[in-house]
Amino acid sequence: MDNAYLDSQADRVEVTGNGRSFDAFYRAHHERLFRILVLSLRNPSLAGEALDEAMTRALERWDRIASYDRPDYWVLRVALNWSTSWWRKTRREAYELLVEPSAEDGLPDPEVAAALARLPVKFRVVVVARLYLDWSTAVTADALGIPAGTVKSRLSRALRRLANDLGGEQ
Amino acid sequence: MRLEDRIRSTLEAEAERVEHAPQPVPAAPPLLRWQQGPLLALGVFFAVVAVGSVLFLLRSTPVSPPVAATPPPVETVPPTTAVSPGAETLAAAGLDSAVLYYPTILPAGWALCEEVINPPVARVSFCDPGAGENRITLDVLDASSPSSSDDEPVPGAIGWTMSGDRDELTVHVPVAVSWRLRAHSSGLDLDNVVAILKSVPAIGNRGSLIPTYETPMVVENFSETQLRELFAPEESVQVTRQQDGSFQSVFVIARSDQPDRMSLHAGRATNTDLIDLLGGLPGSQLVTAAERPMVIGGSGETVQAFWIQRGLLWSLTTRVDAELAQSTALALEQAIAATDLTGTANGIEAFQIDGVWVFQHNPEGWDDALHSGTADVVNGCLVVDGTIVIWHIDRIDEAADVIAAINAGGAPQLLIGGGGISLNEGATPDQIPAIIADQCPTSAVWFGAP
Repeated sequence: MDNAYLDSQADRVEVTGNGRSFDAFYRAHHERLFRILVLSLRNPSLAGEALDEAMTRALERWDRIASYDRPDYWVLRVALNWSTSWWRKTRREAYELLVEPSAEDGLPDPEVAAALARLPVKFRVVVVARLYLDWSTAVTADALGIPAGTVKSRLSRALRRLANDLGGEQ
Repeated sequence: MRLEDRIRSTLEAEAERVEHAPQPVPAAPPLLRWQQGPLLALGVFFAVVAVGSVLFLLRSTPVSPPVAATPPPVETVPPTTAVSPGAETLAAAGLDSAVLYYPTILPAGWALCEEVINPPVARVSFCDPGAGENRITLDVLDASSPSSSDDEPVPGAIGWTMSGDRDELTVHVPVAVSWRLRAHSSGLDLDNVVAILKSVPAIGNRGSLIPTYETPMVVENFSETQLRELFAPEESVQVTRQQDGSFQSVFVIARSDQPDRMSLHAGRATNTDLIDLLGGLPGSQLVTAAERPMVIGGSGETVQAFWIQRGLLWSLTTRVDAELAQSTALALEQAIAATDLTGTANGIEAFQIDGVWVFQHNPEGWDDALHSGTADVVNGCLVVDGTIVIWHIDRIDEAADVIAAINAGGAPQLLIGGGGISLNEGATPDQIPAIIADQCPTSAVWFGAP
């Protein structure tokens, strides 16, 4: 499914107001949030676990979370925070982390994939939001709960790092 | 093709793979915890049946922590002499006093009678196996687990709460940001319960799990040759350095004489990292043989050793035996302590300008909030509106100018970008960097931006 379709599904749920059900929210947002998390964290099992945790927390507080303009942003932030929190780090298998993309993975541009994999999560998630999801700076800032200036500086620093990693390409 | 286009098409290709990869999450909403009850009960039933069968076969086997690769013996804290704060006489528990959540004193004759570890939570029960139904059960819980608002504070113990009476008494103890301990007892006075809880290493010996400040080192600054000298002087060992993309460096230590390899992580540490292992690392035990506090534990075939050294949390993960893991961790700790290599890129540096303590850092990112106020020197420390500022390395010259102005009798007004934490706004003392607390006790810190 492409982003446009998933966005339209998400928006369809957004307009249902505070009476929306968690079930509808879950079905509309789960796939897209999972994809964002996998791209940002580069670890499907960690992404799945983080999303599960965030969705469970949302369900437990649904009366309040449902009143937010974008509960999906809240879930995304919780999942990202949870995944990078200390105690999760202690549990993950070190061996999962050692896999970098290679030419055998069949990705069209393994150099870029490897450079992206080396970016810290907080930079990569901004790259995913701005370049893959095509979110504006304001939307990215809102979704990640960081100032717009931080979004700009992180994107700029991420691109600079990637360019350096790829031999100075601009 | 432009870089941004290459990134876009790579991310799209990766997303395409996500769609076709099996998703580890169900396509249905999660269950609330109370909804999980019946399923849990069913699981517990089968678990009890399975455990019962095993116990039947191994009737004479003593109870031990369910760590498959049991860590080797470690030095223990001195035995506790008998004390009697309440109705029961408490005595040395005779348990492995290095396990972070085992009490070291219990009522005389009591022993471990049940242990269930299902990370991130653990439950241990202690009772008199000979007679009676009195027991105390300790649960390691996620700090966010709900507790009753009817609980009363425990006198003389900050943050501890209690409910019930001698027949059924429950005491909650905050242990770290992530964890709390709940004690549920029957037949014990509050004084007994408090004494037992204070003998739990994660509570009573908490200070030994907090690192003392050391000059930070930044592994990113090391060359491959330096890393090899540091981690693998033996010819049979190869070291590969990799980044996992989340502020950690990963070193793969491969020994030609071992079928399995080890990996070593180094990530930025916080003061409570080792205490947090209470819930994150099954069977976590304190290794007192190390120069610095070290915790080892694991589940299944994996053993992990954690220690904080030079501003970094080190974790050694291995699938080989626990004894080798511990000896390797201790050798690495000594090697790191002996190295002259230092770095400051991510650490906070403390130094004096004209006798005034100032702090600087060079973070990878920063917040964009603003802090303003009058600069002053208080107790030998530079503060701005009562807040300690960690100056960005690019602005440290400004701090020198400010100190010069204050020494000349001025009261400079400053506006500094960045973000801060304050005890008055919900931060905890553990979040104040130790290097600052050591020099300049404060309730608020501002992490300056360039």
